[in-house]
Amino acid sequence: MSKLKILQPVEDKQEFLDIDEAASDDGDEQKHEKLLNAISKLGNKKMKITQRTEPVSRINEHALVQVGSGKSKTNKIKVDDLLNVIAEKPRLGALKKAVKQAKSKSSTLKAPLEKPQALRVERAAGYEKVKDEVSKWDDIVKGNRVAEQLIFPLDQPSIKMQSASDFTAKFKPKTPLEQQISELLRCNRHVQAENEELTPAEKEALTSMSLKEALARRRELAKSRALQSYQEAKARRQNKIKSKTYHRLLKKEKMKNHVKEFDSLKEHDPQRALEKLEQLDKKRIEERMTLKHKGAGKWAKLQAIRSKYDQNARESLADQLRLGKEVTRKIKKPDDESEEDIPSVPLEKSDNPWLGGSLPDSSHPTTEVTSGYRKLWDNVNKGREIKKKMNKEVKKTASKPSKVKQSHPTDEKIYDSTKVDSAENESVASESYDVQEEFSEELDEGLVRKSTMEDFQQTPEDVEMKQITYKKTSKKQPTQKIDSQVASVQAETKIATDIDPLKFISMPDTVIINSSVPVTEEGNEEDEDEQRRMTLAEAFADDDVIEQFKEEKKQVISASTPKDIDLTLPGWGEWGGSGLKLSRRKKRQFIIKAPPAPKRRDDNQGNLIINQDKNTNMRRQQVNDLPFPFRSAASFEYKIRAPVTSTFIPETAVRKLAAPKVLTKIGTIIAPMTDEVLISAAKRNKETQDKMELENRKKPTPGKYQKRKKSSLITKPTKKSKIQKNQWQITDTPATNSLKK
Amino acid sequence: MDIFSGESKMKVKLLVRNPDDYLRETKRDIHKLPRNYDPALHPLETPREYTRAMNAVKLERVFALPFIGSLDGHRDGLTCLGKHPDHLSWLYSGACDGELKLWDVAKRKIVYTVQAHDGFIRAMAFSQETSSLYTVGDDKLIKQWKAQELDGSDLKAPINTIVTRGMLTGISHHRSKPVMATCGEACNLWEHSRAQPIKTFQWGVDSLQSIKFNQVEENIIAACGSDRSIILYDMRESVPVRKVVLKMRSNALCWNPMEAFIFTVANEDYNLYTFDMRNFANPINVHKDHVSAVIDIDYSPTGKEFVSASYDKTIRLYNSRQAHSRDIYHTSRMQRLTCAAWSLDDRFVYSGSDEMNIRIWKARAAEKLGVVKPREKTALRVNAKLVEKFAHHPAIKRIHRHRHVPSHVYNSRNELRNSRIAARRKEFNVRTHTKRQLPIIPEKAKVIVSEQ
Repeated sequence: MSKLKILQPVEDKQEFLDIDEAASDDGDEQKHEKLLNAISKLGNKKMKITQRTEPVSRINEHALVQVGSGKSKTNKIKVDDLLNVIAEKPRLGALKKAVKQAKSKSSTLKAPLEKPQALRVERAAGYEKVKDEVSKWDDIVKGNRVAEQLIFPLDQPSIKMQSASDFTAKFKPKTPLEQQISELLRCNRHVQAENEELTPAEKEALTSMSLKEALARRRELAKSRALQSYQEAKARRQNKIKSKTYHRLLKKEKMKNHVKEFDSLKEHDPQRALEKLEQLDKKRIEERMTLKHKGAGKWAKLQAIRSKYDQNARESLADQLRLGKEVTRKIKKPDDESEEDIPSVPLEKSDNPWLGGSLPDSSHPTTEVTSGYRKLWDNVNKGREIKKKMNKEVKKTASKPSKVKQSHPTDEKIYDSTKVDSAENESVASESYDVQEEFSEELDEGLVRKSTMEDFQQTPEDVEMKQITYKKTSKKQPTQKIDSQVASVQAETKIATDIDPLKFISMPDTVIINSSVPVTEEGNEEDEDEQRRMTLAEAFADDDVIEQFKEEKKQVISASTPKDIDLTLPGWGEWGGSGLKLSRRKKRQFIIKAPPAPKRRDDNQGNLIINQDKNTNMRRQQVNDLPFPFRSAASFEYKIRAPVTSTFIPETAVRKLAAPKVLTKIGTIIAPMTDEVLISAAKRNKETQDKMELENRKKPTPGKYQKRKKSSLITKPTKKSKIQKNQWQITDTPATNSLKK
Repeated sequence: MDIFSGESKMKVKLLVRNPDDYLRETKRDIHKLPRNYDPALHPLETPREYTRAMNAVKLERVFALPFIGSLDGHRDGLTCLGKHPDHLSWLYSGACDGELKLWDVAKRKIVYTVQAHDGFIRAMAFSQETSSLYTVGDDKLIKQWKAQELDGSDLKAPINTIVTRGMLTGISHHRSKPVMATCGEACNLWEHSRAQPIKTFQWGVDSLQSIKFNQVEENIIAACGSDRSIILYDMRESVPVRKVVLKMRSNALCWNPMEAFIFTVANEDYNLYTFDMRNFANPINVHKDHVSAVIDIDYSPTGKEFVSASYDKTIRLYNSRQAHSRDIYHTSRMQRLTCAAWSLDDRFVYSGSDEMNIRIWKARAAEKLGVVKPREKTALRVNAKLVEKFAHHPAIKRIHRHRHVPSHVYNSRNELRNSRIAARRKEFNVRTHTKRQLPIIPEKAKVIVSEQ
């Protein structure tokens, strides 16, 4: 063994080679010089001088020999070699493993950061820590900010009396005697529970019935049960009957009953009658929502195909459609009737639809119709081709009613204005209406709108009419007296024609395509102006703005006029009785006459209301904007309306309301907040938690009883888990409580 | 009859006259007035209360006389005030000539005077445990004085003097540990028994002018630097923790005694800024209204309000969560303010100014100082409630908010307002006439230059 100083270059291996070569040379002096050079060179690099004690075969005189030198650098001893040596020893097997692991995991550490960066990191870490630390005050600070009242100094000792109930809640029987007594009390039915007036036994006694009552009750129950079963059996039997006529009759009867019931109710109980009406109305609405009677069903399609050849099918189809329209008819509101007395004066033509300037030229009635058609045609380009094709077809197979219509356009007018007796003609006519209606369902809009334009000049009855023919008649003879029968016919058609347009736009009618009625759409001229007015009319079809405005103005005027003040007391100072008139003396004495109303600025301006109520002096005293904490004007007004003085609310309430936000004691030093507040807050939370737990324990849960009873014997696992769950719930709830605090 | 059988449900009304309901118990008691509180019977509740509120607010202004008195005796301008943590009526004051005085505020008299330092006394701090007072002065000394004797005789000589190397501008004491922090060229931590600082925090080369220990979270320190920064230290760390640079220099700093992470700085730009120490990105509140640099600030012990002393010769009282002051105090003789303090019982405010006087003010201007009987107290509270209820109505608001201010304050306020409007207008114009969208910076964030 000898001490050797070994030079180890840290980085460059090339240097090593040089030394090795130098060592193998023969010339000693040269070698030595070279070596010195190499050493001096090495000196520039970072050299590490380590001292080791290792066994070497040959000792160099210069003592500067590389370990393993002479042969090659691969001859260096490695850790693996050493490990191979110890491989035989089983005890050191773990060492091998550890070395392997260290090798696989080893990586060079990163260079330390520059000082400024390192400081920055340190500061950031420190700041995070401090932030976390102060955040523990968050709850307390927030709580104090929103507290209704804070009393300083904050950490005052809480003086509290323990009540009897508190004590009993915490009390646990310990001695055997106590346990016995508590057991007795718990199970006894004659012990009064907390917050209850009666013991369970007393309650039972109160609720129990006498024998007589019980029998009577049982009898009653049996009777009602029997009745119910009879009814059910009857209903089942009736349901089984397959006869259609029977069901139709049944339905009719039901309907009749309904109507009768409604009539009787109308007289006796208007409230319920109204309800009944609503019910019926609801039914109608439901009907409107469904596809029934729209001709979209399977049966209707079949009928439509048949209708070409079969008169019956046509009739039934028409009947169905009529029914559909009847139920989907828009019901006019009763206030529309007030329009009746407005004379239908044709005004000059203007754009304003309710000034009635849209009176169409009666000489071109058909163009109006067709223009309506065209409008829609243009809109619905897709269906156009089909329709036209269909038209051709229809024209080919033009049936009787269509001929009638085409060849005698005035025929209908005559029919409408005068009564036509012939049944055949009537049926034909009605059929034509129906067909036309069903055909025009898609186009109904156009027609409806046209007629509504005239609404503004005509009586509401006329308003309701959608049929062109009727329009024509009414236009021609607006004041003509129509006899009642005609009126009835009109009414009937009105019923059939008054249709909610929206409903029909959304419902493409399948029947139309196959219908055997020709389509008339010859009119091609379109009046731009007319159209514009029409759209306006459409937009305001349902409003009667002028009337509303007049009404409003009337109200405003009446509100602004001062009224007489009547201070008379009936029967005071006079003989009583019905039908007495106020004496003149009383009138003079007790009725304070209102001064004449000041002249209004809008008196002579029909279409203008000038508001003269604005009081600028008042305005100056009122709050302009909603103050900060309030979200709505209503809540602010509510706050202002609520009185706070003792004139209007009790003294105790006043004290509570006027309690100051911050209370301090005179001459007491208020020290900054301490950790104790945190602790006391935590304690308070815990207290409430305990209280909750106690309350929960007080609740008689069945599981608990059983546990108590069997505590000495066995506790079933299921029960235990249940209890645990319960406890968990208990601990969970106060967390929210503490937040609130 | 049926009445007397048990089954009857008929109620028989009886006349009951219980004297307890209408007679007062003692002669000193108020007369009982039975009253029907049905609101239908009082249709004019709100208008009547409005009238009462109007009267209340007028009375409040009539009684608003906040100035109580002045303590004169110093021969140079005041520099600092110190409230004794255990004695309400003891007030220490330091002046520019190095004189330290102990006052009895209740009697408004000097208790003791001592020449503490050569040159300015810069700041003072109390150690509650040892009941001693520490002062720093321009002579680079830290002096410890005993502050226990009622007659102030223990102020005769300092019990300890530490000679320091650098200039000292401020001192603050740890609430419970025997550690204090001084500021000057750097922030130093000192222990009572040692003559050398135990720790030195340095960040940048500029000096610090104010330093305060957090009284709630006791190990945290904040200081204001003359490079316009506010620096946060943790006593336990080896380096400062956080720094935020504002647009202008902060003169003084005060921690909220009830909210551990809130502090407010008095800034040169006429405003005060309240920060949450966890978020320096922008102040949580900007307190405006002063028309000159704010020199000092002190929180009320309840943490709900603070007082600020300004170079504009006024002190203002702020609600700590509101942007505008709730009151302004001034007298014609009061010159530039140098220090302000809020008494520890939350009732008074002290102010020290250039013209050698300490002034005592009421913290709430209209408060009655004498004995207040329960009924009077209730009446005052109800009045306050009424004013609060109708505070948004213009007529009442006008009276409630109205303060007479010195003309220089009035004029410079208008001037400031105009310049603010002009700046806003200019910004609007720039915005409307540039194609590129300029980022909108909230008013609060504008004051922050950087955060490190």
